[in-house]
Amino acid sequence: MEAMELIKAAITAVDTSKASKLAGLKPETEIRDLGLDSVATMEMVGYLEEKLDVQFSDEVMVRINTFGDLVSLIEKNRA
Amino acid sequence: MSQTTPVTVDLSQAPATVVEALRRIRTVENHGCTFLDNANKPTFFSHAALYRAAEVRAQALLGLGLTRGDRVAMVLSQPQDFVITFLGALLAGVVPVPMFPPLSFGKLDAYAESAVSILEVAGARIIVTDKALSSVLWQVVPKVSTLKDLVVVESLDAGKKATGELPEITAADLAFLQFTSGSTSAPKGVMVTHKSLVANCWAIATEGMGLEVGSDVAISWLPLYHDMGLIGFVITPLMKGVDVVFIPTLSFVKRPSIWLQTLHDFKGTVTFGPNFAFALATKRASEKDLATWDLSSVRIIGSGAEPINANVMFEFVERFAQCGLKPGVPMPAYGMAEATLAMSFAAVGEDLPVLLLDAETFRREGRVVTPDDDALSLAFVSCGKPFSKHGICVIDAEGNVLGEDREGELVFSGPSLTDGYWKNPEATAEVFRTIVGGGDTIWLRTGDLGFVHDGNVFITGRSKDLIILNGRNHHPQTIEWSVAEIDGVRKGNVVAFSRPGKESEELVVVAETRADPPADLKETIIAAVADRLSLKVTDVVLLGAGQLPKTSSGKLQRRKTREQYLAGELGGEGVRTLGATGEKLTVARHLARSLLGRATHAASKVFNRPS
Repeated sequence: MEAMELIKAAITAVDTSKASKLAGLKPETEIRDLGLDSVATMEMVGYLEEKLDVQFSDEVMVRINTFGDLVSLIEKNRA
Repeated sequence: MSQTTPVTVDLSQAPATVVEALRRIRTVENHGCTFLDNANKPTFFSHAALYRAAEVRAQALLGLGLTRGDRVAMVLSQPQDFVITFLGALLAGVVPVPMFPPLSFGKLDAYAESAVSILEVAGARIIVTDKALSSVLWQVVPKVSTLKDLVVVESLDAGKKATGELPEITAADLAFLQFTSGSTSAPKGVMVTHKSLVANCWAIATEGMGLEVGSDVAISWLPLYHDMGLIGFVITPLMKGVDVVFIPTLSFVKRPSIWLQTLHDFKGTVTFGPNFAFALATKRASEKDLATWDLSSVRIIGSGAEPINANVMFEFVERFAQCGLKPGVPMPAYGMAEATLAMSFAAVGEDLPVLLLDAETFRREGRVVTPDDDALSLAFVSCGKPFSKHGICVIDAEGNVLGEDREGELVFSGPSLTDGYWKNPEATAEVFRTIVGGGDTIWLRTGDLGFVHDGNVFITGRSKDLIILNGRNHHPQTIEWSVAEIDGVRKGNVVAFSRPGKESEELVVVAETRADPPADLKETIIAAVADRLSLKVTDVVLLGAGQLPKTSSGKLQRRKTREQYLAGELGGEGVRTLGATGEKLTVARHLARSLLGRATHAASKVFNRPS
């Protein structure tokens, strides 16, 4: 699955009410603008880690702001 | 004699210090702490191994040039690193300052800013952190005048070590500084002494939870930089040498099912969580989890640190009944850092105690009376009774003691009282004080509103946040709760407060909205509050996600929100909310029926039940 699609699946898994917003997600969209609370945000990360079978380190996570950042992180971990 | 032969240790009396608690179990090889890492892999440290590791860590801390009484900041997200370093500092007489790690995406500037202010107030000389977080923490080092160095925990034990005898620690010694995530901007460090720690932990371990080594296994994912995780699950179990399993907090947040999975895996008996964690666990458990888990070993799931929503507790018990979870396991508790940790505990295994009272009399007169069938009523969950040698009473604005069933500010006294705030005698004198007719006894002003009914403590709100409109008191939670249910509003992200109006106080509501909120959301909010609570909202401010000011633990900061509103500068940094709850107005018989309907599955004790 393409990274962005995977992210969308992760968001849907933790908060179904965000479905209508997914089409408009752009790489430059800030993750916090989606309006997930921070537990849901971390749950989304948990979903991604499980699918990719990786662990993102705390230090990497705090440096991520946009969906583009998250896509790069996923692609880097797949490589 | 093999190494695993149980050693019998007499733990029938309270120790004088946490160091003594640790020393008297230092030969025990068959009980201890299990630390799960991020990949859920367990590492077991017997109490003997834990003591040895802490002793090495103590000498390593002293080897850094720290001396007795120096403050060492700890930013450690792995429980194994945290517990060993914390206990090592206690053995060395060095004062740990536990701090929260950066936990979410971005917001690094805001994190650094609050870390700097805690480090400055504490006068920390060294930060101990881990490799992963060190690059983030290095940027705060030059900004704190007292900081000498940053040390990475992975290399700590391999560094230079002191070789002398560890110091003698006494009950009066400062054990650590607990920084509160209070609602004011200047952080305050609560001075927790060994004396207050032992008084509180011993009461929790014996009267509160009845911990028994061998039969009890405590499980915790709670952050160790907060009192509930640190005192409740690191220090309290040491009193009785009880086994503990630590889950990294982030593991729980990423995969909430790990909490109950671990209870199942380790046959856990005791655990704690804030209200929101019960809701999350209920929501996230899969059918497969439910079919697999055996939760019959669980005795206590304590609920604290957040207002307790009875329905959330009932849903939790219902959901996991098929896993053998006993209905009486949710156990409300009340506490705060200034009282070390716990001030009152509900009885173990007792049905969730819910009290119904007449809403009108309560609002108008602050009195608790049984509601008539058709009267609007409020439901509150009891937080149990204070421990022996401790007391809780209710005072009015002038400091006079009120009797039972009267609402006022809760005050607390007893040997669990801490020594106040670090280098802040003004704040200490304001909060730790005598009460009218109470002689020289020092009481902690909790700032919480509540009442005592039948010896049980009930929390009704924060006195500082009280909204007084037309001479009647309103808890902001009541209003926020109503607004949070409106479509387009982010649940748990609403703040209500009053502003000075022409003649009297006026009500203001600030709410974060979901994406693309309805165009008439302001009007809907005004109409809903008028409809449900008969209150007039004078102004509504709508904000985007994450713009309401919150504490590091995600609590709404009402006073800060109000200040920003009055200064015309709402917006900016925000952290998560743990989910708000509050009172819900319902006609008494409906409320009683819904609670009792629940009670057929999840036993509940409804006081004052109308017929």
